[in-house]
Amino acid sequence: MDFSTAIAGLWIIAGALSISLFFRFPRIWSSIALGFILIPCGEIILLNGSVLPRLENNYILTLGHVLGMVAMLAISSGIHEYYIFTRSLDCIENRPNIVVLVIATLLGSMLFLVVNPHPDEAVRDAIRIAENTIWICLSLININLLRKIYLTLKDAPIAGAFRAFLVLFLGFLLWKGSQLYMDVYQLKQIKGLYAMHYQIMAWVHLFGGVVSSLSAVFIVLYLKKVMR
Amino acid sequence: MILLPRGNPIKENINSAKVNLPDLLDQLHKTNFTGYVRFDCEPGTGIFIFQNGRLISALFKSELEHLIAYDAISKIFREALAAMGRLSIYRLSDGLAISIHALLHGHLLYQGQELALIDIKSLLATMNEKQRSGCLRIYSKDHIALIFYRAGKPLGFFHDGATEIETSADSSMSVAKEPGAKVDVLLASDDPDQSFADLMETADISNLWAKALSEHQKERADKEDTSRRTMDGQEAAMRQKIFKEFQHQAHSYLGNIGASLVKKKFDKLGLFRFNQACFDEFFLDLSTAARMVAGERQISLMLEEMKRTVKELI
Repeated sequence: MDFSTAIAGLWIIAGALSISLFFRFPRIWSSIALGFILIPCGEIILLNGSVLPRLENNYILTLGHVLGMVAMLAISSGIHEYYIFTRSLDCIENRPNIVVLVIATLLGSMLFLVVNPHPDEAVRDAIRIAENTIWICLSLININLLRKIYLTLKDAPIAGAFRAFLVLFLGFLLWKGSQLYMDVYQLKQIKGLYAMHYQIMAWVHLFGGVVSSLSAVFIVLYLKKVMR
Repeated sequence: MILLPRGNPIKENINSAKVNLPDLLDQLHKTNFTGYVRFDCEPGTGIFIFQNGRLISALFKSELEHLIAYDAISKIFREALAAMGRLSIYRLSDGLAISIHALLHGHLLYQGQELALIDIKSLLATMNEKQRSGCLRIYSKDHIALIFYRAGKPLGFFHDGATEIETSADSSMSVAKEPGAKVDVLLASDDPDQSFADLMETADISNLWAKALSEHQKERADKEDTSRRTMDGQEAAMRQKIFKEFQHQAHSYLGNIGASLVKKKFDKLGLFRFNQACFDEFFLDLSTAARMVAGERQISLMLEEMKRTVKELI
């Protein structure tokens, strides 16, 4: 079992714990919980051949990236909703809306894959770059929002969760940023020439993955404890 | 307090709030009533004297005021509207009504002399010698009797239940024998044979009543307004106190956002009245919002503390 499998394992734990977060906690946590549930789904698919039998179906493999994108959008939606709450002190989103929106996005993405030409390796790489770009951009935006949320809630019982969220998104930046860097420069193909660059990015990727997945587990456990 | 024997009572101790005074005066006018209407209220006593349906005198006397004619009518109207007064109507003979008028508009020579301490014979002799017109008012705690004099000669007696000036001294003089009896000497200032103007003809009673009614309504509105403002002020102060307490408690459990949530929920309720429904709505709203930043246990503790505060303050 390599580090990627360990990261996926941690995400599965976080996802499993998030199921009760989704059902039992205030609705504002629903989209974040849904995101935490979708990330391991995508990660399992992308661990192609490591744990599950190797898949040759590019549709399913591409779906792994799509799940990752939708998961990040759902988490970001939750963070935005929380930011609005700290400013307006009103919570307007409701749980069915979030579920419908996520399912609609997933179905729309699948339809997009089906109606377009069969995705080959190059298409999968392009979609992975798009996925990682989305993760990076949203992580940067969310870090800024989380900073503002934390400043408002720093003396509230839940403040610790937002410190952990900051670590989570910094982890995302490293995890997905290093992957994006390697994809853009195609370091895997030229790792003979740039061995050090590749090695560092590979370690950063694993480090980011571990940090973010551990943070996710910590956040869910912390929320369960504080919100009791 | 105007001390007068009760005469022949037609009505006694009617609640003045149930009587329209102009209508009553008008009815007495139309029925050629002779006698007097007595109005007792907390500030003083008012008297209307009728002779054959003519309102020949109106008087209002209190510790601070001695009003006659139109001023007295206005005052009685105002007091009747403002306070719970008692009205009594007594029938008298013509002569007695005139005598009562002369008595009420005369002046006091002696007042509240203890009968046990004075030489009554000497007093009566002096009345005769100086040819005084007026009356001796003898009264105890429960009864009043009048002895009328004209030019030093006694005319007769008037006591509770009588309608005429009587010649028999028995009933009147029995008052003098009661414990603690006192005597006033009043001198009449008018000629008892003079004719009197009818105040109901010369005064616009309806207008006086309308004016009194308008003043009363204005006073009542002012009082209500002042009372409402005082109540609003007290409620606002209490609201502010509760608001500050809630903010403090929310801050200690939820931090700064707790205080902000309390403010938001207070503002949402607008004109916050102190009733259970308002508080229930407030607590429900606050707990829903508080669940975003704290757990059920902490929220329950905070709400319990807030509910205790409400009990203590209201």
